[in-house]
Amino acid sequence: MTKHTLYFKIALLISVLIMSTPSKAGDVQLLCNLNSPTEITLSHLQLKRIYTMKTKVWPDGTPITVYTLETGNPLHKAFAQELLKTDIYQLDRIWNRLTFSGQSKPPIILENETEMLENLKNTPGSIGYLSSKVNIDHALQTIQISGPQQ
Amino acid sequence: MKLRNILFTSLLLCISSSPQAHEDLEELSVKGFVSQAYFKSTDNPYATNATLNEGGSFNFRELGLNLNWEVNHELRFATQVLSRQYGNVSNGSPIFDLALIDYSPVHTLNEIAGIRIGRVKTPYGIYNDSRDLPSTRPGVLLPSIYFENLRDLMLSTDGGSLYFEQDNDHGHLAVNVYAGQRDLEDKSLEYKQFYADIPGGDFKKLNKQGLKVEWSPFSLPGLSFAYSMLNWDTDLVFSTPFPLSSQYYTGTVNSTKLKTLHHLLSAQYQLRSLTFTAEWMKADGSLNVKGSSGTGKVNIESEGYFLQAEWTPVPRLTGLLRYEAYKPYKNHSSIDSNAITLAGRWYFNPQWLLTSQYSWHEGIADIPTYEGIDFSNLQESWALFALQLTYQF
Repeated sequence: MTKHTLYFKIALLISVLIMSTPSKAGDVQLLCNLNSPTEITLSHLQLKRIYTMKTKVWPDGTPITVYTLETGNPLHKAFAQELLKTDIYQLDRIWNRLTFSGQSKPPIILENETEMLENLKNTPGSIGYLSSKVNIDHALQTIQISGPQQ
Repeated sequence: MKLRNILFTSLLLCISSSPQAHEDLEELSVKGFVSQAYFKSTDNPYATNATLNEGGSFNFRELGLNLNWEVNHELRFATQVLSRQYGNVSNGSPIFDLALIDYSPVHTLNEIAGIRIGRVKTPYGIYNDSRDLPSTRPGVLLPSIYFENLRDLMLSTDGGSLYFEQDNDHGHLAVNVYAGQRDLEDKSLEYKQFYADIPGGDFKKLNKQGLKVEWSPFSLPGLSFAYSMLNWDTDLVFSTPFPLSSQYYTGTVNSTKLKTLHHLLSAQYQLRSLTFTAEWMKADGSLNVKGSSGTGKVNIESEGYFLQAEWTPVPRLTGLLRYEAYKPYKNHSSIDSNAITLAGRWYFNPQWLLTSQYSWHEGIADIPTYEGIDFSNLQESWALFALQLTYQF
């Protein structure tokens, strides 16, 4: 086996391994209740500001209610990694720092996805997330994330 | 005390008077923590003589409860009670770390501005305003420029603060300006300043003003800078004139005024699993004396800094290395102190964490002072081991 063939086989193996690793992207859908006919787009920074409790209203002035699942929930872990580009411990530290310094209240923690869906549907202006497998009706809108990570 | 009563009465009135409020109470946020620590030191006691015993000391525990109630997106009440047993320095009596009303009338997607009234946390450096919670501290103990000796003085202010945050095209800007007073309910300032409880007089009330400006440029995510200013002054009036004989003043002293202006520069950079932090503090102070020989004045300049690297190879594990130096009297190098700290933190799960710290100290300027400490028997070189178990919810 020549050196080039060996390198090619290693590269191929790595590529196959990477491609065969289950992709995390798209496991989580970000949702809001804004009574809007169009899809909502937020920048990564705007989403981060909402989930670090800095932004409290939508552009039309509707107050934002921020929902999250318990820290140990696998979907919360996926949400933190995929959409906020952080980990659950770091996110917890940010919320604790805001709360214990008196700057803000933490998000509302819900027990499971059923509760999340119910609360999102019943609370105008709310934001939360569900597994991509969950079908949602017209009461909720999907949020797309655009722009560079901050 | 009056302020606390007003805050809680108004909170209770709001809750009881409005039917809507009962529904809103479901959104009352309750968070808290309990921690138990073990301290063992060599050569010098740390916060209690018991840390020198063979078995060390378990007399370090904290219990905190934080309540937050958002009436609407503009109005919020928050309060926090802390019980802190810290060797012989603090006896565990519950105190209010914060109790405030937050009104923020300015809201857009990129801006927020408002006012907080009550007992507000002091924005000073990166760690001061959340120093109560063990999991937000780097290691078990904060660096010496956060003055563990003067924790209550540093932590919060009875008064108000104005805040403004904005994301513009270049980065994130946050400004917080505050002013007020703080009652001094213990002798910590006297021990810190004079190494003794001065007979016939106590520092009772402190005037505080300051600001913090923070900037995080978008061009380099993970980087942030801050400047903090803290100005405080306090009076000590003696019930009976205090005899003093020193190179600065000889006579009987009727009163003293102590003033200090702190400047603190902070920089932090998070690059993947690494976080680098550096803070540098300079304090210009003066002690004015009035008495039988007229007036006298002593200038006190102090300086301190730390350099810290944290490594988080996996989210639930963090290692830390820190070097710190502190000069309480810039012109007297004999009482400088410096320390090297190694620390580790492990989250068993998001609620339970174990933090350990080992520090090699040279100098005693940052050693906690308390009633009963024998200053004449302190050693220059000493070490401290601390292990802390925390549950937070």
